Amino acid sequence: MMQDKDILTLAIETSCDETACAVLKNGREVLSNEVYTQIEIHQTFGGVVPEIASRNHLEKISEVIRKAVDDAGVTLEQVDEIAVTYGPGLVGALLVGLSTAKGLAYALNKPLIPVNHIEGHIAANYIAHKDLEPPFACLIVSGGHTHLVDVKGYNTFEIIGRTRDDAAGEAFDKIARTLGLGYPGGPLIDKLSREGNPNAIDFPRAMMDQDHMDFSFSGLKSAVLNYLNSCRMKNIEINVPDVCASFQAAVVEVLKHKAAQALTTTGYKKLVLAGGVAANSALREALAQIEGISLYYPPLNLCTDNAAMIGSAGYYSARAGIIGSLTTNAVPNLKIGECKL
Amino acid sequence: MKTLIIDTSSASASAAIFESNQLLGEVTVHTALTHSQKLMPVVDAVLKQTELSINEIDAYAVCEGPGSFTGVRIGLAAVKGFALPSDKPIYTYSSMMLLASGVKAYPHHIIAVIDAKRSDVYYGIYHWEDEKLITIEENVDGFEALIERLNDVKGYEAAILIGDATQNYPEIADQWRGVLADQSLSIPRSGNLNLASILEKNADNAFTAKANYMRKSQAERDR
Ligand SMILES: [Zn+2]
Repeated sequence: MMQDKDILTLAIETSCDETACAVLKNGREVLSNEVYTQIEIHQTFGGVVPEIASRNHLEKISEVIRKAVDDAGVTLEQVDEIAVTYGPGLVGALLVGLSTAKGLAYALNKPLIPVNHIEGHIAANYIAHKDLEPPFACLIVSGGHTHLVDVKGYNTFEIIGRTRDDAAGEAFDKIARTLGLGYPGGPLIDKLSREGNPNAIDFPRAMMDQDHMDFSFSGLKSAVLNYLNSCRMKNIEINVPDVCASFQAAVVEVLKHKAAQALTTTGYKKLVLAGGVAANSALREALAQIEGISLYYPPLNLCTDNAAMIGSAGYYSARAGIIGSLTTNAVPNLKIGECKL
Repeated sequence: MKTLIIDTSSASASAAIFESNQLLGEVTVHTALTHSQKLMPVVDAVLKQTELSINEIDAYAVCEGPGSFTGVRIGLAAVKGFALPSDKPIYTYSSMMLLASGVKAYPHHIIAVIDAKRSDVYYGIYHWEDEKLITIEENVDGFEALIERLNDVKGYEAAILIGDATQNYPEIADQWRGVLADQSLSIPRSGNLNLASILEKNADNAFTAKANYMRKSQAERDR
């Protein structure tokens, strides 16, 4: 696309426990990417407390925006558009970012671009891989989401596989908590798995022999919890690295199998990994073994929640004329490919 | 000096513009829509009707709470967005004070009570001194305990009780020995705000303006 002028996108993200703001040039060049994480605050509660998250977003939001703008070396007046996450996520948390963005857009007289958080995770790959363009198959794995998506265009998505119960990340969190590892579970289990034997315990792999691309992780989660319980009842010492490695191996095998199926079905040669669990090293290694395809995934700081990915998704929404209004509301259960403006 | 006043602490969304201490316009919407849908159109309407652009606003006054946690945040977040580019001052005021401001020139004490659920109220006690509304006390307490206590205070015989808690707990409000305000005064209207007493306070800005929830989150209370 030829442009006579560079487009500056300011992006705001507050859907969960990260207060984030970024400035992007032409949708793919990150000029600044500021993230204030509340993880420590929520750790004492063993998970994100929505009301506390919302309160902290409100306290930090201006500081985070100011820092992002200063780091980018621009002024708010120079920004061309304001992108903001409007769903899915915690409604109270979303409303802080959205309301601030609406106020800013109104004061600056710039368009407001509402962005789907999950589509933002996909767009993180546009920042990391300057040559990546749709169409491609995308595996999105995060705390709340496990999806296989046919990304037909920058703003056209078709879900071709989804979890029928728990998200993969949810299972990671639950098992980490039961093992007393803490929160968030994904990185902790990934780390311990490296010292464990992935074949030590035979945990179930659900829906492997079926021709749809849906997932199920609740059976696996229960199997791990039952195993831990029975060990405790029988006074058998639990080998934590082995449990982690065996659990992770089961998750990764299912994800790899279904991702390969998605590539066969769509005929795409590009597989894109997105979401917080995209940082999982075992998952990356397994997907890289799928033959005849190119695998894309973002660097760690773009896998976890950030505003740069929202800016990239927002940039492509704005080019397609997807603009919000004064009445744009948060949509906590917004689906991939859904537009609720 | 032009001040834009916003209130989203209750079910109504209200925006008003003052030129010095003179009200130029007010729009208040008391409907079931969420603040995320109501607030910006209300602000836009009051600016359009007063033929002003948001850039001509010199200062903001916004309700810090207490009230609906989410509502309070929507108002504060929007004002932070308005004020951030030009670093304009933000003044905050309590939701009880806005209600009390509506009982203009009342010669006795004004007691504003906002339903804090489970028979608790956020309350504020005020009185007029010349043109200014003076704050005596603001806190949260059981409504019944508050009424019992204030019924014994000398000099409060003709004090007026105002706010949604008087409708939500009529059996408690009936025990009040003083005056009961008309229900129409329970809807907070930003145009009623006693600006003179607000502008006396130190101004905040987009970085420092804070909500006053008057209550911890459920998770912190349960801990
Ligand atoms: Zn996310």
